[in-house]
Amino acid sequence: MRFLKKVIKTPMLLVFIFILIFLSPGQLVSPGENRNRAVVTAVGIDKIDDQFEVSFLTFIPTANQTYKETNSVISGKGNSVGEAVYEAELTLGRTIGLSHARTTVIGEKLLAEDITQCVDYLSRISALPENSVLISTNDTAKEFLITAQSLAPNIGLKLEQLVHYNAENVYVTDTTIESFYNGYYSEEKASIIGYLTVEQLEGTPGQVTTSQDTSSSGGGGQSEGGGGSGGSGGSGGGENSGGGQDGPKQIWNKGETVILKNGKKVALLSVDQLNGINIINAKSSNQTYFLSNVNDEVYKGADLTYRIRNKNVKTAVKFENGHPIFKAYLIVGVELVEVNKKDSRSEEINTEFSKITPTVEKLIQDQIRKDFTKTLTLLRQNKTDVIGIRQKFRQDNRVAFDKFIQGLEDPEDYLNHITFKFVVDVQSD
Amino acid sequence: MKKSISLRQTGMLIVMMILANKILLLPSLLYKTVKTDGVFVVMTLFLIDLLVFGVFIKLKLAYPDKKLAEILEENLGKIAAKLIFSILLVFFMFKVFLTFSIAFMYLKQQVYQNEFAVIAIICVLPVINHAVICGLRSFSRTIELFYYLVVGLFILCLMIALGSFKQTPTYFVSQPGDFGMALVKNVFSFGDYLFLFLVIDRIEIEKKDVKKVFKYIFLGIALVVALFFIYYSIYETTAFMHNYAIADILTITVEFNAIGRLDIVAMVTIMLLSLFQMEIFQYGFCECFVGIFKKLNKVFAIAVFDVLFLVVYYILVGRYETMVMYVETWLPYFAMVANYLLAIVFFGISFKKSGKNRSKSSENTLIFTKSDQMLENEGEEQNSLPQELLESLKETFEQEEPQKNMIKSSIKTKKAKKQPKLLQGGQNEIS
Repeated sequence: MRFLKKVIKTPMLLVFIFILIFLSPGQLVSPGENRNRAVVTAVGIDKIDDQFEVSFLTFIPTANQTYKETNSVISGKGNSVGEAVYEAELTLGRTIGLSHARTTVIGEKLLAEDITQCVDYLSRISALPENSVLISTNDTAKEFLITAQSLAPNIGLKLEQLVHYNAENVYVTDTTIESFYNGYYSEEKASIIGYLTVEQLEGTPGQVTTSQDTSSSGGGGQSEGGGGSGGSGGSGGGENSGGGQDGPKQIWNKGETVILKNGKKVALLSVDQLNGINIINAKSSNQTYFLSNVNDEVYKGADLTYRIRNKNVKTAVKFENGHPIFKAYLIVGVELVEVNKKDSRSEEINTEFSKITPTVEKLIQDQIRKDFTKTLTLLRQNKTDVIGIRQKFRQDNRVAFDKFIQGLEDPEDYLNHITFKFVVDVQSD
Repeated sequence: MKKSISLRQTGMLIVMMILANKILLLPSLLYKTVKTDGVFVVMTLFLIDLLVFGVFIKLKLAYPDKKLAEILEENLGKIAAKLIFSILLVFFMFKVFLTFSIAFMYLKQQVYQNEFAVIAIICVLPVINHAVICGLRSFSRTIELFYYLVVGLFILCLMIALGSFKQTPTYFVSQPGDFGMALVKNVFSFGDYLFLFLVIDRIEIEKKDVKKVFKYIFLGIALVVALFFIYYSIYETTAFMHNYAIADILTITVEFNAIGRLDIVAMVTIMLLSLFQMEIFQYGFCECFVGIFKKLNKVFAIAVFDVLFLVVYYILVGRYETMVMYVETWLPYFAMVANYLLAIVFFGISFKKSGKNRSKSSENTLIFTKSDQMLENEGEEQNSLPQELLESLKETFEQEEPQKNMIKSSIKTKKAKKQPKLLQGGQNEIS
């Protein structure tokens, strides 16, 4: 009675009770989210015969005592990515939840077209563009995902770990969908994304590795991954896919990247070329420099390997008689990590000999310059400014830079008309 | 029972209103028109709004205890007063719609993907209705209770976002025409001080306290401007893709993935802010309603609001896109009338009142000046009187002086403060 009086006196309590009575039971009897929703950890997008094929590396949470995850690759086709996702949902019998999709893979064929047409769907999903790393591959994205399944059981590495390692240590720049769009909509219209290759394991044609915890399923519920004699893996089955029809495949991380302009692939950078760009990126370090046959007062015909341990980069831009000049001053702290001497014992593997001799300094300087020049040439040829040179000039002196751009025959070819001055100071770490 | 709100509560209400409709969708909308110069559009509109606040202060000082309805009826007549209340009623109604729309859309995307608006309305309406029934003082106290939490969370959002700060974006990239258009198109998100006019009689504020209110105003403005700066630095070219600024700046990149998702901070901030803002705007609606239909009370006003909310919002403007379209098409012009034209009207009224006061005080001054002059003249005449009589007269005036001062203090006008100087001058001459 007293409680009732209190309730009547407090109308908000009535509202609370109303909400409890009418809204809570529905939630209490509803099934768990994982029954209705598939957790997707990676998305792959391909284009086959004017149709999009979207593949999902899904993780189905099930109670077990082995800590092994049940993964499978599900795909669907459609005229648009949205339609393909819908078909994949039908195949899977669950709604596809993309909040945990940390990797988005674009197939090789799509790179020839503007990839915004395939990532637009993903860009509209809350928080996904910022959290999903965009990568491309030499094969189809579906094949990539099928191969990626074997990473965890075989070498204990998840795809997202590999991708994030690259993002943080190799690319040293943001390569998410968001950063792709940032470049795409910038004045440079250029972006950089990671590139992982799928290659067949040598000497094992037709072999299929098996695993109990992985399976693959294609559009319409058909198996796609289990190649060779591996048989058919149903959507809920237990056959693996270690590869395609020709045998097991493996993902190779060569540290490569793709430069996109207007959403299309214009160049593939090797890890050395990427390091060439990253030399003026203060965040990047750990690149190695191999110096062959060094002869000086300390080293006699030795092969030396140095690693960049720290770096201080200062860049400045200026105009001299209307001509833009980009200056970079680099202080590079290197560490000798290996000495190989063919004709005698490697006595130089001693810290006291790790000091930088003038010859070594010059060789490292030359190599850094060479790497940078090589990459710059590539960027100039493709008229792609992924280093943000334009932005630096515009922030420094917008009027002068705009005037300079207006004076060019091809305004996009501005990199060819900028003088780069490079000072490298190599120091012992 | 005391029904007015303190200066501190007024300041907190102002901060809530400054943060309304600007921290989610507005940065993205502005980017579409003027790119990163959106931050300057916001600053300009804040400056214009400050003038409206100035008008409020002037009106409040002119009419310290009168209700807005009384002020309007006294100066413009009943019909004009009702017309003004009608304009404000529509203004506040759409403010609630907009606040609800954006917050609901945000929450739908983040949490309740399968929910529909009715559920959200059921959860929101009773709370804001209850707040309005309890009254201004009551919900101001609630806001006071949560104020530091909300502002703290907001600052925390900004601080976390600093981790994703990339580089200072390029500013001054828009054309003057676009800038002007952006100013016009986004007026509806402003008009933060209009609510204060509706509760003018219940705000305890004096001229000396105005500086204290400015502390709150500048805090609110600083928070919004800081948000714009950080947001544009993170999403320099893709800002148009991110419609929930305060939440989107927290969606930090994979570099910091280990920390996990921190958007819960923004979510709580948005939910609390939206609730308080809707309470304020609904209260504004009800005040206007009662101002139009004087015979009806607040409960009736709330019932009408609820029906309107369900009918107009759910049937006509329930779609987020429709609401955004309204905000960019006809609502800005309506808001210009509500915010700026009415501010000019209020300024006129306060100016008229000040004029009256000035003329009153000048009359008073005239009286005192006359009396002083008379005394002075008398003094001159008295000089010709015998010395004894002069001394006695002097004593008499000295005795009368406190009485004079009492008269002075009873005149509550601005000029009255200057009066003692005149009197003193006269007295000195006498003495």
